[in-house]
Amino acid sequence: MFDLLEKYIHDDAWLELRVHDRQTRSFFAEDGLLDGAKLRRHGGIGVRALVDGAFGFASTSDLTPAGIEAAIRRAKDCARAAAKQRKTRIELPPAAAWKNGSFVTDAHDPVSARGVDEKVDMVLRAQAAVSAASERISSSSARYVELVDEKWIMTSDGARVHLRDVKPEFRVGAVAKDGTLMQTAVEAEGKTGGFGDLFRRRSMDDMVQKAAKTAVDLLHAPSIEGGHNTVILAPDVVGLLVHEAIGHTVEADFVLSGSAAAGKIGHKVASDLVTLCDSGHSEYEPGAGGIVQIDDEGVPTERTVIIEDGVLKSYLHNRESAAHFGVAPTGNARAFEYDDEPLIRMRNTYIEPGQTPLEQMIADTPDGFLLASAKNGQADANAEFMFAVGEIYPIKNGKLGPLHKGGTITGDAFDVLKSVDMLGDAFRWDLGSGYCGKGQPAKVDAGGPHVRCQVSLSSQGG
Amino acid sequence: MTITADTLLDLCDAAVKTALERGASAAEAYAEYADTLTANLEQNDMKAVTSATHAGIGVRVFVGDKLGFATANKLDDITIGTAIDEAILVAKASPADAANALLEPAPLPTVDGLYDPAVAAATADDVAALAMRLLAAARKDPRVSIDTGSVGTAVGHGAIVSSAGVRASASETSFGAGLFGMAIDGDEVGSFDHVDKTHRTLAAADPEALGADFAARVLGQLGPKDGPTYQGPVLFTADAFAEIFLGTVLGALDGDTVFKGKSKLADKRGETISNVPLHLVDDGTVAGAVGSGAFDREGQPHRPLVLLDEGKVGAFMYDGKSALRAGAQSTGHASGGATSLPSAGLTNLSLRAGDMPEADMRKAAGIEVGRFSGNVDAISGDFSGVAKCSYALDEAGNRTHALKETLIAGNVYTLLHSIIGLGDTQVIKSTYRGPPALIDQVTVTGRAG
Repeated sequence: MFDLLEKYIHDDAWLELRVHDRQTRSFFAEDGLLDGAKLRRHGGIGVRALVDGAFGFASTSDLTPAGIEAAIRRAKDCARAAAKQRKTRIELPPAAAWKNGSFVTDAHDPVSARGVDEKVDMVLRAQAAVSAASERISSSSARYVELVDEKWIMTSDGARVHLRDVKPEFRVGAVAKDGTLMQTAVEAEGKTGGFGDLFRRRSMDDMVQKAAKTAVDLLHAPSIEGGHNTVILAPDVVGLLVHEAIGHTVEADFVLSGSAAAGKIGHKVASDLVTLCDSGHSEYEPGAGGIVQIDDEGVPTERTVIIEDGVLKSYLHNRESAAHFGVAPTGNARAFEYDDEPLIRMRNTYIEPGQTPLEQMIADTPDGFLLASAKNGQADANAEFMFAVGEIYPIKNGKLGPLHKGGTITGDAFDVLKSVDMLGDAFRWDLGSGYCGKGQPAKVDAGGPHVRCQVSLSSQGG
Repeated sequence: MTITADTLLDLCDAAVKTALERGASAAEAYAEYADTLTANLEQNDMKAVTSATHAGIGVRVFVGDKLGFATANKLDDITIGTAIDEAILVAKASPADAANALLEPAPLPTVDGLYDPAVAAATADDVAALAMRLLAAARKDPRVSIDTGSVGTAVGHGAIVSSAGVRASASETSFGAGLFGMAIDGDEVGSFDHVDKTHRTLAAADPEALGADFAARVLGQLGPKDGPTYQGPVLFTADAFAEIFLGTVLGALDGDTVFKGKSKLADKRGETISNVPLHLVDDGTVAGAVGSGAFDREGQPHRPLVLLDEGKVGAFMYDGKSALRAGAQSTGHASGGATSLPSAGLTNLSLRAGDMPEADMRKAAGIEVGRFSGNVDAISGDFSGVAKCSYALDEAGNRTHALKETLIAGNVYTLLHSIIGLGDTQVIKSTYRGPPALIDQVTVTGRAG
């Protein structure tokens, strides 16, 4: 492929040529039926051109010489059209410290070693097991998806990278019913690698049993009273906080639009305990779902320290924003598929662990809640956030109480980080299933230790 | 090769023939092709113009009662042949299901106004210029900050052929614009908001109106204060009412959800679920509407469907598979494209307006909710989350200040019996039109007490 791309890279315009071949296999079973088994191939080339101080982008699935030449022409035409309207001229950013070569992410028990029939059987067995777990289960589901990627990235100024990567994910769902009462619970894992990575922390059966039990237990679980509370966030909720409430505000494109993090480099934005990072690698626990060895501009990724001991240190950059801020790019430019333009996206976002065992954190909390089972969330430009959590456990006098129905937590992200007064000693990646959305999807992960802080909490359903 | 609707029909004919020759007992091919041009805005400036060609073919093959599906984004013989082989592989590995079957063809309606030559002729310079008009309109007040925005055109063709005799094709165009951003006043960063509008024709585009609407929304969010705490009347804008209430009800009216025991409305056909005569219709045959077309993802005719009939549960939405499982007929609601299996989806949704003037609604409500950022449990109907783009209202119905960190919560099915009134005017969006709603007994939790 590089031989083919080499014929086009030496152009009068700066070019970025990104060939991306993706195979997606997805299998979904619900209530004894296989409701979706799909094999999808999506491949082609995305071309970015910098002409007259503006970018143009074109894509095609036609990888013949005529197809590539046409895409390059269209990209340059688009750039010229954009250049006529831009107020400022984009200059080519400095070349990055390329690490050219071939990069293959590790995979234990590769997904390619198992056939379609095994994957079909897996989802059928899993949803049957959820259904069998309790007579109160009225509906059960299981989904398995794998993204298998191969990319070639070449730029006029020296990037030359080949990548291979696999990201599997598995999800089980349970609906429990008692009369008119209905409750749901979902357990999911999303990793980078193979089946050995996907089920390293929890087996499929662990997930099945947890989903079924939680749905049934929630049927008659009481609701909490809302208010401003001391809470201990489980790692998946920590992941949602750092990704949604902090991570998006420090993406440099959003900073330049005026997010709440603008102008705050060097400012104290969190408690001294908090060191918060975004990494293309998988610190503390292998196989995180957002592993990116080289980003889609060909820039090697790194562990980017966003907040260190409470002080904001860095934004997340692509080449263009890094040049604007006078720093090195951080390897955060990502495109979901060949026909997407690279945008600044997160990878694996986390808080560094501390020293305190969870049992001690609970014992040291006179009045509060343990929150787990992160659901959806959203954060605002002003750092105001909202997340739903599926499981709430009251803590009274240092003792953990029974499961209560889920609720919603809100707050100002930086105020919450400033209120952090205790960090757990055990680390977990726990947000790898599903996708981050920002005009196009991205596979990410997030997590950390258990974190104690202050938030506003309300119960689901009022 | 220039791709047209007829080209795609020929490809689908060949794909079905190949599938049958390679062992399928029945087959369907759905192919599509689109050219798109988009001008993207970022940080109050033109970012880039992008051009894409999208091609795709999805092949459903049946080996007896077993179904396999494969899709690819190249339209050459080898790629299509590989997709067929993979689909057959999946079918042979899958369990039998009597609901895996193709539908017989049915006469299709004529739906006009789906193709605008002006959209097809638009150039990169045209979309870039329209994007700058949108930006200028939004930023008449320099406190408005556009994080991202876009203006784009799409020209598409689609075709479907099945061994049961379905054979149809269509061409269509669309023009869309959108903005995402916030207002910034000194150190104050307001809440973000977004607007978007899609049309079939270039003539209907109005970047000045869209930009002005966006500016008003984000500027209104400056200077927010803590909200009140009470249980009582809340004014939901058309968007917020649709998102929280109609979204939940529509999920429960999906025939697949009903079949799988996850719908609260499964045994409520003909029963009243609201205290006002909500009348909700989905219609994919409206001339020139964004969600319209002659046929659905399975080549079945689109037709109007009354989902809520004067406050009573009307029809459930079915695609082919969910219809077969329920012993019902497809309602022509199979949605999806070449890369997806069919599943039920909406076309153009309309909620009939009520008779309450908006001024009266404002006087009766404690707060006005513009957008909802929270969680709705699709099965129970419980919801809680933050009221975004929202305002406190005084007794005269004036907006006193924007709200911050104010939560709303309730249960959709309970609150549908507490509707005080629906607005007397429909707000028209891209594929939805409906009125605002004043609803009592909503739990509001704010920090002002």
